[in-house]
Amino acid sequence: MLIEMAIGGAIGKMFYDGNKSLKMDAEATAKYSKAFTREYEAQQLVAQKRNLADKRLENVAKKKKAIINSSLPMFVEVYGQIQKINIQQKDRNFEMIPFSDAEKSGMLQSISVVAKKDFTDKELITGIIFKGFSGMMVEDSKRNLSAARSQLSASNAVYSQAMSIAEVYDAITERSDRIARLLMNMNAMFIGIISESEKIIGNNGLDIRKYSEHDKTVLMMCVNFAVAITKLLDIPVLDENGEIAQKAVEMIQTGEDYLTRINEIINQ
Amino acid sequence: MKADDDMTDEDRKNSDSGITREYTGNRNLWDDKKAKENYKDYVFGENKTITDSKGTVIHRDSQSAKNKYHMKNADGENISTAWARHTAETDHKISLKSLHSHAKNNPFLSDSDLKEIANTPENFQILSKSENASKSADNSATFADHAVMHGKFAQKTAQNVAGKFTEGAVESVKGSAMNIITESLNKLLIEGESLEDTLDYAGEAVIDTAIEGGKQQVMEHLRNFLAQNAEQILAESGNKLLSSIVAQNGIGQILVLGTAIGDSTLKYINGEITDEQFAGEILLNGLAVGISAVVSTSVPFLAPVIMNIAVKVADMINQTNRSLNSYLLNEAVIKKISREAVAEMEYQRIKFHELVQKDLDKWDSTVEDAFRQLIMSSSEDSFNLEGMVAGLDKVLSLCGEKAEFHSLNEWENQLDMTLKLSF
Repeated sequence: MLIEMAIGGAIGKMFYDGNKSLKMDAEATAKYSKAFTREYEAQQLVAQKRNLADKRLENVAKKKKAIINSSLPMFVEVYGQIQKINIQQKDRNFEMIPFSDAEKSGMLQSISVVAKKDFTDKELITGIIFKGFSGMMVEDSKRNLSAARSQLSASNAVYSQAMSIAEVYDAITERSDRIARLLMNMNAMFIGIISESEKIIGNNGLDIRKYSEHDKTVLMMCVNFAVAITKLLDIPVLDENGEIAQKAVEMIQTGEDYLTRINEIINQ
Repeated sequence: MKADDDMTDEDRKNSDSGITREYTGNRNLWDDKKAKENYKDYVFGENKTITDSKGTVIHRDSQSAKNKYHMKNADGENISTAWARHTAETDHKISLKSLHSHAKNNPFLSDSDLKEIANTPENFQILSKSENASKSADNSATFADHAVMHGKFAQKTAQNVAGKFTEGAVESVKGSAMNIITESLNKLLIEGESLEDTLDYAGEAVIDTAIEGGKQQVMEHLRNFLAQNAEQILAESGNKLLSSIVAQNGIGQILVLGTAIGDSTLKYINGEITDEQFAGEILLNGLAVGISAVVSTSVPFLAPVIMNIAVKVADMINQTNRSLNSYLLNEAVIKKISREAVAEMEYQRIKFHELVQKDLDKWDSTVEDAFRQLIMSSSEDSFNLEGMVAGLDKVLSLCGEKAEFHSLNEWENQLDMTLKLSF
C-alpha cells in the first residue's frame, strides 16, 4: 500500500514538477522579452535625442556660416571705406559637437545577456540522485527564471542611464536653440546697422569730420556689432570646463561604472 | 540525544528524536502497566472470572485463584501451582522486543510513541499466568495483528513527519513573510506588474517557502538523528578501515553511496530489514555500481558505518543545495546594484536638470533684457549710444566679453589704425 502511494505520489509530483517548470519557463520568457524591449527602448531614446541634438547643432552651424559668408563681408565692404580692416579667418569645424567628453561617454553601454548557469557535473549527478529528474528540471527552470529577473533588473539600470544621456542631449539642444536665436537676432540688427552706415557714407563721403553725432554713433555701433558677432561665433554650446559639462560627465560616468559592475557580475 | 546511560526516563519520554536503541534493561520505557490493568478491567467487566477458548476458568484476581486452587496447606507451605493456570495476565500479542526491533531505526518515532502503539487494546490479550510464561514471543500474533501494528507505526511516523514539516513550513513562511510582501509590492509598484500576476507570485512564493522550510526541518531532524546514532555506534565498532572509508570524499563515492542507500534506507527505517541485511544490500548495490574500488568485499559492513555514510550524504545534499542555490545570490546582487544605480542616476539627473534649467533661465533673462535695451535705444527718435552699448555689453556678458567701444572718442581715436577682425 505504501509503495503504491509512493509511486502515485512520485508520478503526481513528476506532473506537478513538469507543469511548474513550464510555467516558470513561460514567466522567464516574458521577463526576458520585457528586459530586451526595455534595453531596445533605451537605445532608441538615446538615438532619438542624439539625432535631435545633431540637427539643432547643424542649425547653429548654418547661422554661423551665413554670418561669416554674408554679413561680415558686407560689413568689410561698407566700413572698410573709412577704416582699414585686417581680417583673420579661423579654420572652423562646423560639424563638431562641442561637448566631446560627454559625447564620447554618451554611447550607451549594453548589458550582457544574463544566461542561466549550466549545472556542473557534480551538481547534476547529486541533484538527480536526490531531487530526481523532474526536480532538476524545476531547478533548471528556476535558474532560467532567476537569470530573466536579473536581466530585467539590469535593463532598468540601462534605461536609467539612457535617460541621463538623453538629459545631456536635451541640454545641448536647448543651448543650441538659444545660440541660434541669438545669432539670428544679432545678425538682423547687424545687417540693419550696416545698411544705415552705407547710407551715411554714401551721403556724407569718407570724411568723418563732416558726420553728425548721430552718424558717428551709427558707425561706431556698426563696428561694435561686427566685433561682438565675431565673439559670439566662438560661444560654446556647452563649455567643456564649465560646471554643466563637468556634471554631465560625472553623471554619465557614474552610470557607466554601475553598468560595468553589473556586467562583471553577469560574466563571472 | 544523550547516551542511553545518561538519560533519565523523563528524558526519554520527552525526546522526539528516535527510540532508545538498546532493548535489554530498558523494557520499562515501553511497557504500560496501567494500560494493561485497564484492558483487564475492560475484558472482565463486573465478573471475577472468565472462561477461555479451552474452557479453563481464569480469575481476574490472583489471590482468589490461589485460595480456590489451594496454593498453601494449613501450615502455610506451598503445595500447588495450579492457581497459575487460572490467574489472568494481560499480554502483548506482538512482543515489546519485536516492536522495538521494528521501530528502533525510525528517526521520527520516540520512546513515548512506541509505548503508545505497543500498549493499544489491539495488541493486548488475556492469558493465564502459566501460559504467558511458557509461550514463545509472538507465536499467538496473527498476520492481521502484525498488519494492524505496522499500520499504526506508519500512521504515527506520517503524523510526526507532517508535524516536523508543518513546524518548519510555518517558521519558514513567518521568517520570509516580510521579504515576500516587499518583493510583491516591488513587483506591483516598481516593476509595474498586474495585481493578478503579483498575487500569483506571492502565492507561489509562500508555497515554495513553506515546502522548502518543511523539507529543511524534516531533513535537519533526520540528519541529527543519523549523526547522533552514528557517532555512538561507530565508537563501539572501532573499525578503523570503515572509518577511513567513511572519511573519503569525492563525487564517485557520493554517487555510489547515494544510489546504494536509496531504497535500502527506507526499508531499514521501516524495520523491514535488519542491520546486517541493510549492510548487505548496501554492499551489493555498491558493488553493482562499482564500489569495489572503495570497499573491499571482505569488509564486514555494519549499520553504524552506513549511518555515518548517510550523514556524509546528508551533508552532501545540503552542500549541493547550497551550490544549486548560488545563482540566487547573483540575482540578489544584480538586483541590489541595479536598484542602487537607478536611484543614484535619478538623483544626479535631477541635480543636472536643475543646474541646466538655472543656466537657461539666466540666459533667457539676460538676452531678453539686452534686446529690449538695444531695440529701445536704437529707435529713430532716440538713438541712444549709452543704451546701445549697455545692451551690447549684456549680450556679450554671455561669453564673458564687453563691447569694443564705449564712447565716440574711444572710437574716433583709433580710426587711423587698422581694425582687426578675427572670426
